[in-house]
Amino acid sequence: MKESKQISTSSYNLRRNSCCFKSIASCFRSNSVDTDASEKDLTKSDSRTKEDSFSNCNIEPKKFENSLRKESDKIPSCSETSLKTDIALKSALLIQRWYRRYQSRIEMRKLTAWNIYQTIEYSGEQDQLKLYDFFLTLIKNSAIINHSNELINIKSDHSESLLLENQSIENGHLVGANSAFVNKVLESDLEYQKISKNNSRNYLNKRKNTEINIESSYKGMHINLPITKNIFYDLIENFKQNKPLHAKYVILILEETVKALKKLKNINVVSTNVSKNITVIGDLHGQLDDLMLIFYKNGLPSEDNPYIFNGDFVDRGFKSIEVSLIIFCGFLMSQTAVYINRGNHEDHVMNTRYGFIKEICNKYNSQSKKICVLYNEIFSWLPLATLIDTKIYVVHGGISDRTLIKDIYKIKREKYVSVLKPPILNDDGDIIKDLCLEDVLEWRQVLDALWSDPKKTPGIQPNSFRGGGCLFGEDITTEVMKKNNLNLIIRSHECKESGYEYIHGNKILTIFSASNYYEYGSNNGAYCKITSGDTKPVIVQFYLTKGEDITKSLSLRERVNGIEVSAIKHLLEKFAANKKRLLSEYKLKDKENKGSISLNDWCRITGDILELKLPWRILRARLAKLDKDGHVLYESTFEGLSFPQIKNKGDENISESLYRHKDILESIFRAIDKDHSGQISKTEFRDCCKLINHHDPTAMFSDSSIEDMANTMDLDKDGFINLNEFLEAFRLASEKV
Amino acid sequence: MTKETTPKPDGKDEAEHIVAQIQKKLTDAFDVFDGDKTRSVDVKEVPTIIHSLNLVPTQGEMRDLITEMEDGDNSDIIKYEKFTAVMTDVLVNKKFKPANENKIYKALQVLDTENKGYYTKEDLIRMMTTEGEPLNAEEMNEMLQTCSAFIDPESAAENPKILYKYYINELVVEDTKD
Repeated sequence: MKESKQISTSSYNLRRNSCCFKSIASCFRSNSVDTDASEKDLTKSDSRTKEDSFSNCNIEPKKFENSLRKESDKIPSCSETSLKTDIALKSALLIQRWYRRYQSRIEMRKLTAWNIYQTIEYSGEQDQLKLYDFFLTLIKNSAIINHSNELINIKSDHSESLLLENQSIENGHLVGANSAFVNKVLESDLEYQKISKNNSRNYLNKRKNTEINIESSYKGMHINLPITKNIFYDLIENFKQNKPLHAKYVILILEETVKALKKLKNINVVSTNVSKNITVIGDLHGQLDDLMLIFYKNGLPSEDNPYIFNGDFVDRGFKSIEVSLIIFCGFLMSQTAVYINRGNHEDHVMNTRYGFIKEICNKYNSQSKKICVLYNEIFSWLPLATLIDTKIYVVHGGISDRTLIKDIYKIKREKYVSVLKPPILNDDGDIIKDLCLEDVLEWRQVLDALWSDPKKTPGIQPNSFRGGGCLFGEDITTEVMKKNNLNLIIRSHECKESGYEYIHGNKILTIFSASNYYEYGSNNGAYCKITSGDTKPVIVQFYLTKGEDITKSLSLRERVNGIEVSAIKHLLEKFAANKKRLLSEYKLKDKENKGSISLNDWCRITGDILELKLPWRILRARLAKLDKDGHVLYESTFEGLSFPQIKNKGDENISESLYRHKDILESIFRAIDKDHSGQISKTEFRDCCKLINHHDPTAMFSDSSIEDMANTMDLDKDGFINLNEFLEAFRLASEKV
Repeated sequence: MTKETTPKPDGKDEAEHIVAQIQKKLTDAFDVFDGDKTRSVDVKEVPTIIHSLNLVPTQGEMRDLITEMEDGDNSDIIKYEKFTAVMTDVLVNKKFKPANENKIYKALQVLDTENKGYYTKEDLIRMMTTEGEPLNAEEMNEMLQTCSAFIDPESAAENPKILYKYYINELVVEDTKD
């Protein structure tokens, strides 16, 4: 377990460099003090000692001695310099440079692996947004098709990411066979929102009547209201021991949480006067072990040791339910012990893709619908930010040039069951016919808070890299902080290698608390503690080690090898999913049919087809072989790559297409699988595929091939496809990695 | 950047082709460090980028390169255009190439004054942190960790012998992969 406040290992800074010049001058005096006075001169002498003159250890004594004599005028203690030490000095220099070069090259490999993870992660987020933009188009479209009076006019300037615009509406393809299906998607989507609108009136009441029985075999803990300190501690212990919590109690906690959250304002206002300190936790993403480690190191939440959870505690990890229930219970125990901010993953649109809904279905199958609906309601009522001592603003994503705290107070936050869709329902759950500019501006305030990232350069631009919110520069930060009278903004939302990062002249602090987020060894987690009256938070880094590694810490090289292998594997999955299209493009350039193309062509085609902007020139060495002329043997990437389970059953083309869209398919499945049973009918599966044809015209699912695939996957021939089995079928096995 | 360049044998075009290739290489290296995709990198990253391009300028030359790249307004950020302009010149003129690997073996031998064939941990720390362009504590730590793979298995645990002959392979292995 590591705990330090080190600067990132990535590079050595200039201050350190100037130390080095000094050391050359003083030859053997170690740890010389850094003064700037004679630095310029030393730089000159330094350049004379480069290793070009070090050919075969034959030093030119004259020249070298002169240079050192010049130095020795300044440093009397170094007056006698023998040839022997010259050589030693040069040898040391040579090794040090080689070593730095070696480290930098490893650093480059590490960052390249990070690039892969991040690019794939963000392109997934973009994809999910596009999918929901597509749904929006469908909603709009379906209203037109039905000649309904409720013509929704979405004046959304979100349209920069509206991929399909009106393309599918005009050609009228969706009328007919698909319209029933579209209505179903629409219906289930609206139901989510309507249920939570009317929740207090109907849904909750109805549920009260049906008592959930506890089986005698149940071994977990029992909970009675109110939530006390002891119950909170017991719950943590319960989950630590890997015991389940009964659906009845899950629902009980969630219902209480909804009630309590409704009383809160959009921004939590916190004072450290009494507690003297407060701890901020960033993204946890269902990583219960990280939360446990934080509690172990920093103590359990209490009025004297309050916590702010800055969003994104669900999705991706496998214990999102446990993590969120602990947070909610802490909040119910004492509302001055736990404060919660909403993150971009506290949103059912994200949950359909990133695993939280899947987790609920797996763990609480019989009650999954209730639990999903309750979570949605909780998410919509979560405060958007927290203000500490009026000076420190804690928010999941960030700010934009429009951010005004007093405006955020006015937002009707519960309207945004999903932040990713414009608020098209009014208070009564009816569709708003005309979305006015005010509504759009309000919506954008929410998007900016939950989705934005800071950037190095000045100005503001849409966050097209991730798909939502904006990218804001230091000038924007300065302006917003001045307008709102702030000293510091703490945000999360981005994974950082050391778990935290300062940017914009220390005005913005990113805190990310899920360690090993991309892969084992990829990053530390971190949290920060703010002491009353102190402007600078104390940052604590941590990471979880796998049992056997506790005694042996990995060298950078070993760590990089691990994350690199795994990153390349992710990338190879993309290659496999797009094999046919890649090969046909490569072959177009391979006019003489040699099996190889130029590096330029290979990089361009690969980037275009996979739609990933990555340093392909660097990655090539890990992905494809070269022939003797330095051309890329493009087929070498695919050697040993296959989808083993469906290889011989369906036709290869369609399995590739399905694989490429498996995330989208899963999202649609989750959206239409209203009772969250994890099963869909073959008809629904066919309709999903057809929908994807409109989403991505290159998918080209033909009716007969979809039929074949559906039959192949329906192993027990009951007419239903189990979603888990569907996904299992596409687990890529690669002999190469 | 996606503009296509087809190699042509005749003089001027060939030179252009080489420059185009160099710039593509620079773009890729730069992009890896441009996390927020704003076509800029933190000035602290520049030495790492330059080293990763297999260049070994002295610390002084490194400073000069960075000064040349800096933009008046914001010295914390290096812009893509400036970086490429400076570095294209470096690569075209084949500056700052590392010495070949035989020399590094010789260098290690030179420092082994008694011809033992190994270093102790203390030897290595002394050599790397007191002379030349000293490694800082963090770098030194990493170096020792890498070296731990090349310890003579027969040497005592409290006084490990680092067999530098094998360590060289580690330092040069990156090149053979490209």
